[in-house]
Amino acid sequence: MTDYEKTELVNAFYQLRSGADMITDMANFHMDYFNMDNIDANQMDIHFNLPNEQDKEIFLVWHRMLMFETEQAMQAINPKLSIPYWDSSADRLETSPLWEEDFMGSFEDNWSLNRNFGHDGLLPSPQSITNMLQMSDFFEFSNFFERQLPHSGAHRWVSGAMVTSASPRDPVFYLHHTFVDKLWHDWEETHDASFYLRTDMLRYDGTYVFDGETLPLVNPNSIVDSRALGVFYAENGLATLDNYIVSNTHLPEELFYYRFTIQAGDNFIAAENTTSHLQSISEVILTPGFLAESGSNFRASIDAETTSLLARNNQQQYPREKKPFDDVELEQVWLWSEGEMDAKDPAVVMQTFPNPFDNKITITLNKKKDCVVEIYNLTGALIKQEFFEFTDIIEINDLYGLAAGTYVVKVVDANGETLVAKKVVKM
Amino acid sequence: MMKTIGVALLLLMLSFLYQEELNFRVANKTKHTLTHIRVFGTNLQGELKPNEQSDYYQTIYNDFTEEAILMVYVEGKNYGIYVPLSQRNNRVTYIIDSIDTINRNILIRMQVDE
Ligand SMILES: [Cu+2]
Repeated sequence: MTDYEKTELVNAFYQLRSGADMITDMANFHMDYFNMDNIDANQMDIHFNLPNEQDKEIFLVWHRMLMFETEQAMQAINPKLSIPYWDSSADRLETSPLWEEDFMGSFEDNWSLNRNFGHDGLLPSPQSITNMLQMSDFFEFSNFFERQLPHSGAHRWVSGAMVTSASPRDPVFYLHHTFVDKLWHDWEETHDASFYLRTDMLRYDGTYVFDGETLPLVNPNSIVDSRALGVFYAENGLATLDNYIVSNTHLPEELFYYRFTIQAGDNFIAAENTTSHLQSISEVILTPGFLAESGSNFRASIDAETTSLLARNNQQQYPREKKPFDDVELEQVWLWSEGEMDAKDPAVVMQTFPNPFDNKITITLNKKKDCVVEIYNLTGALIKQEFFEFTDIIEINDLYGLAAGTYVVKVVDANGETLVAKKVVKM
Repeated sequence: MMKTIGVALLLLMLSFLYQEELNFRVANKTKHTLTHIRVFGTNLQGELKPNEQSDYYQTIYNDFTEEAILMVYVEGKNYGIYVPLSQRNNRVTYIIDSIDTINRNILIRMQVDE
């Protein structure tokens, strides 16, 4: 993921947790209806209905709707956002960038999650997932999936809130359940055999109200193909959009935004009187079978904003950047206040100009180049960034209006090299 | 050759059976009275007052039909948590250390008894 996507996603989780607090609402709902068999075996619940209670079974489809509800709320914050998936069979280390302070690590203390990696059990192996996808009976597949490591592994391995029925409190729940949902999609693409005995489900029964809005009535059988929700999972740097008719059912403009290459064809139809937009920070390819009907409002574009150097620095499939300060010494603290200071660097000169009206930091580079200024707080979270095109003088006024406190100012060039990183104290 | 495979299969099946027989009980170290306790798909009898523990329950655990989950009902709320599994055929006690009814948190641990 790009820094932009990570920052936006983290911010979106924090936003969902504030105000009406959708995160807590989902965690409480998931907990209240997790499994009712200890109280009343006839009561509807979400988990562990197979193999004997097929008439109550909604595990995969219910979590699909929960991911969709979450993603819609995120897209109301930023239409470019979608929930990435955590492939727990491949991304298995607690040193993974997934857990760093600028991403999922950000929530550990702030939300009291008490994660304890590897405390209780293992993550699934890639082979176990391959084997599972070969099962042919839907209920057997779903039962195996729910109970075995492909689903339960991540809950147990992360531990803390994730090992309890209030697991939606941990943002990684959503990254895990999009992976679960992607695997169900992969299975359905091969077997085309998903079905439910129920035609209704909890929360999405047309009566549940959250934050003044009544959630829709959803028949589980109507969304066994994830296309029904306009969801396409990218893999190996490619998002393949096929067999889909734009309908604007959920949004007035359907935006398919990926950092990966988008390939749309094979009966992807932008229908008359609909509005849709394919946007990539890499490339968009239209192949035979793609159709934008006359009367449709269709666009394909490259996202120039993040194609800048931020994107070029982060082209790996997984977020694999180092921690922001791994590569730099920060022993030198600059007090940014009245009457301070100066420092010398062979390549870079960084100065602050105290001025009663216009506090500013000036950074002078030894030659003109593209660069990004990044401001971090001391936990390593990226707070601000600004792109400077082909320049040798960078001026930052009033530290972007940030509150008094200690920050790290970092300048990175187009090759990802850190030109300067200094602690500054804003009085 | 066939004989070797046969013996290996038999050992494999025995090792599965060996692992599937579970003996567990539940201990309540919280300040609450716990009702509707369920572990491995088995509903426990009665309730547990603070510092009480249940009798041992024996079950043949099959991870396709019984979930390694502890459910417990406290002050109008139902709590669920995955329980650790003993690697060997031990008797174990699942100790419920605390239930925070304000923040809806539950903490448990497994004690191997023998
Ligand atoms: Cu769940």
